[in-house]
Amino acid sequence: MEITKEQLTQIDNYLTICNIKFEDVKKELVDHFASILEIKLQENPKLDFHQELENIHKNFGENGFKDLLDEKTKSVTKQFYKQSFLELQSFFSIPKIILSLALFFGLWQLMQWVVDKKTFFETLSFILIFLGFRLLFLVNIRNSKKVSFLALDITMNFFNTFYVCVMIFNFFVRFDKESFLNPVFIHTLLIAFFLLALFYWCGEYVFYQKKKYVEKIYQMKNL
Amino acid sequence: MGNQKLFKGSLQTIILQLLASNEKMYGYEITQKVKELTKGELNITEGALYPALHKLEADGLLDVEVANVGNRLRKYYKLTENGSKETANKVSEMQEFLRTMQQLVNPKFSLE
Repeated sequence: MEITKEQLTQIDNYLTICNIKFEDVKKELVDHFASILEIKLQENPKLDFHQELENIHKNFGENGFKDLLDEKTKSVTKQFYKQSFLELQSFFSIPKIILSLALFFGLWQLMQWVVDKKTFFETLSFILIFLGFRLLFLVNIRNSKKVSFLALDITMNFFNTFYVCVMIFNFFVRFDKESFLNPVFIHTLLIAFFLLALFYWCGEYVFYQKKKYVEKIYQMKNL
Repeated sequence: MGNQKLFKGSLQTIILQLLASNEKMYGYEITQKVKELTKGELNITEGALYPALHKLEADGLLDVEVANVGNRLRKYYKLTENGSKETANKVSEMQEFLRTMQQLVNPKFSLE
């Protein structure tokens, strides 16, 4: 006995009340609830639908959907960072390493050309802060969408990680002018900037790849 | 019903092995298949199943496919190439574990 559209809406509403706001989690749970209810309704068509929803909910354990959401969030975050680091790693292997070396050489040349090294690194720090603000702006846009997916809900976490790294970079940029005469110090800072900029690019690239993937598997456009 | 705690550590192996022999499955189907195969001895709760599935997916061992079934969407899980390799490892680990347990709980007596 296939479940009706009205009954599916009831399940959907029940899950929304239970704080399941992410579509990817909700769609899987709706199917799970519906699969059980189809069998139960076959056995007893006069079943108390709402009571049965609560009974199925209880099977998820004492904490309801909390454990499921926590574990899924942890998995999604872990997957995101793993993919981002793999992407970052690809910049240090053939063929992308040629591009990395060219970009780093260009940056290095620019550093050599600028006499006031402290100002040069303050500018780089400003660029990183700007990228951080861009991420924060994207968090607001992405979180304000009507339909949200847990698989894509990683921008805030990424922003926090990136922000901490930028603050550490900024801390070293605030050192006195004499420190910038030390070649080891400035080259380390330059490498740190280069890695941070690449990390930012990789994080955003992985996000857009995931977005494409989610759009494809859930047959949705412009998430 | 058997002691569910004993099965807890084997959940991932159970899921991987089921998917190895069934190409693709969805969450509820997995719970029912386990119930059927164990004649009701093992009951996988939803609270344990879905986090395990999501973890395996994040680890790159499972791939997902979403299909329209009737008037709703259904998420199917299937093994990736890495998942197939990991299944073989986990199953052989499990067999080794069972042999060891067998020796511990049921040692053969010898007259020597």
